[in-house]
Amino acid sequence: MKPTVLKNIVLSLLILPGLLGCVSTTKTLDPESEVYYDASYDFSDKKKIVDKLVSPLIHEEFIPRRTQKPILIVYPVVNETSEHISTGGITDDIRRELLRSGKYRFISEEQRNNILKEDAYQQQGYVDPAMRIAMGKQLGAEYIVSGTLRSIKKKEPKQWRLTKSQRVYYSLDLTVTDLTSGELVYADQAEIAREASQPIIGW
Amino acid sequence: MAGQMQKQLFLIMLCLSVLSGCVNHALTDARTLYYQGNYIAASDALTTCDDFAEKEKFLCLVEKGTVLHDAGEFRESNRFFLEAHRFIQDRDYISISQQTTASIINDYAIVYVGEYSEQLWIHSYLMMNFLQLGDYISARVEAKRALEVFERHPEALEDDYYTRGLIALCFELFGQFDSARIEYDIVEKNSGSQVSRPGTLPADSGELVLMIGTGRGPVKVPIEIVVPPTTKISIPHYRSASPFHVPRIQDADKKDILLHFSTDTFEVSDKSLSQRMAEIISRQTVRVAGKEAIADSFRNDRLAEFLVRVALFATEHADVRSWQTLPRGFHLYRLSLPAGSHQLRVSLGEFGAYRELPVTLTNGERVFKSLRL
Repeated sequence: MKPTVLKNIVLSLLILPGLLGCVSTTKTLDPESEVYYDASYDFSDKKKIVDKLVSPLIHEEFIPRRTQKPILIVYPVVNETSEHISTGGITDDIRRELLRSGKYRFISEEQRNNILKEDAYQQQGYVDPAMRIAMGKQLGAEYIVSGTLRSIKKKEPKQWRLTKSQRVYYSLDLTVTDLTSGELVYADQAEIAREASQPIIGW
Repeated sequence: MAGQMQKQLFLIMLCLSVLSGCVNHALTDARTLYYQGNYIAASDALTTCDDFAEKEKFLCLVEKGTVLHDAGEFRESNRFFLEAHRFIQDRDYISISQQTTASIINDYAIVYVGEYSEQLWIHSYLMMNFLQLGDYISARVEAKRALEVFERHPEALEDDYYTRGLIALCFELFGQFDSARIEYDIVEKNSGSQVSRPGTLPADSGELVLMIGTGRGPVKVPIEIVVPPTTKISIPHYRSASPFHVPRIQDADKKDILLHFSTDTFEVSDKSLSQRMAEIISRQTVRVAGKEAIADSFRNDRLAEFLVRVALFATEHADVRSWQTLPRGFHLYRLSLPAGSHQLRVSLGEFGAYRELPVTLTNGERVFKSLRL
């Protein structure tokens, strides 16, 4: 009897650690933390590149000083990488940081269709004429903020090795264009270069 | 004691022989329903692919993606093709357990991630889907991913002109004419003939882009060689399942419209498999030697040796897994048409019946249509 009990205990002890490894877990991550599973674009990259690009726009005087705040329109950042990256998040972050600086006024390009829809609805006679939004009173943008996200991937050439490495270089170019003159009044770039390696052989 | 061990070994062998080379019925059913033209039932047969074994999950994802593409469910189709792409990425390593099992039983022990050509066509389908959804940015992402596959396997994929044509188109949509030119140059170099490069659209015209799949894609079949007494060598090769036809497109005046790019999937698939043949044959050699050694260890017991040899013979199957809803030919037509409504006619090959294809476009508009004939 005794050896059987012992055998069962040993078996249980052997199985337990295995089962513990199978327990699913969830944890909250600090958005500032930098943990990379591979060389591809990560959520912490967005913050890094937006901070780098927005800071000069807030602290430098690239638009001639005047009493009225300049009116900007932010166009969606164009994704030219080989990954399905939602660049809408980058566009939103740039606009939010600039808006919070209090130096600029903004026109929402994203809401244009909704504004047109709402305008049309209000003019259909359902809304009290005194409360209808006045036509032709919208602000006009003076500057366009636009950006392009690019990437270059380089893989290690085929050779005898135990791991394979990949280098990825990301760059986000941000420009501000004067709508009246067409002049490019600001241009800057944020870059990220990363290398990741993974084993060629696995279980 | 030794007899008991032999019995156990034999039982294991017998189980393995039964298990190896199993065909998933959902896949077979879906393919049959697809070729009967019943896309919805074919899609239903494959459900979400979550209940598929790892070894055949890739096939489920790509077959489901194709079925949904041809049913016009481009967004849903993308979901499966993107998952297929991730599936390949996650398994981009040599698995010791799979290779060891494959060296003893057969290549079905290896998780199937597609031939190089099949890996490329995931991106071709994604490009087609994104173009039809009007999401040109994502189509260009897929064009770049397709280029990465071309870069990894240049020789195996050099005859896929259709995908090159799609890539060039994705670049042209963003005014990246230099990048498009590189693709046209590569096609000219690989095909040895001049390609028709699309020009600038006339001011009062739009462009119709027709992406046509024709016929039934190639299937893998085994070539089997039996070396007496019980050694079997089984190697996969591609077999044509339907002839390659270039469709004819005519405008309202019954004038033929020029083909832009065409790919014969049989040729590209065959070349892709050939590129992997050294790996397949070396594994086969190891397996033959291993199986012979196992059988030889039973030489003191004639009956056991015979039974083991039978079991080992039965486990030897060529890995004939392949994407079977692929068309035999991919064809890309690009034509500028004056703004307005048009009635085009499409037929499969020289003697096929014409099918009406109504198209309406406005100035500067690009209309994308995909057809399966």
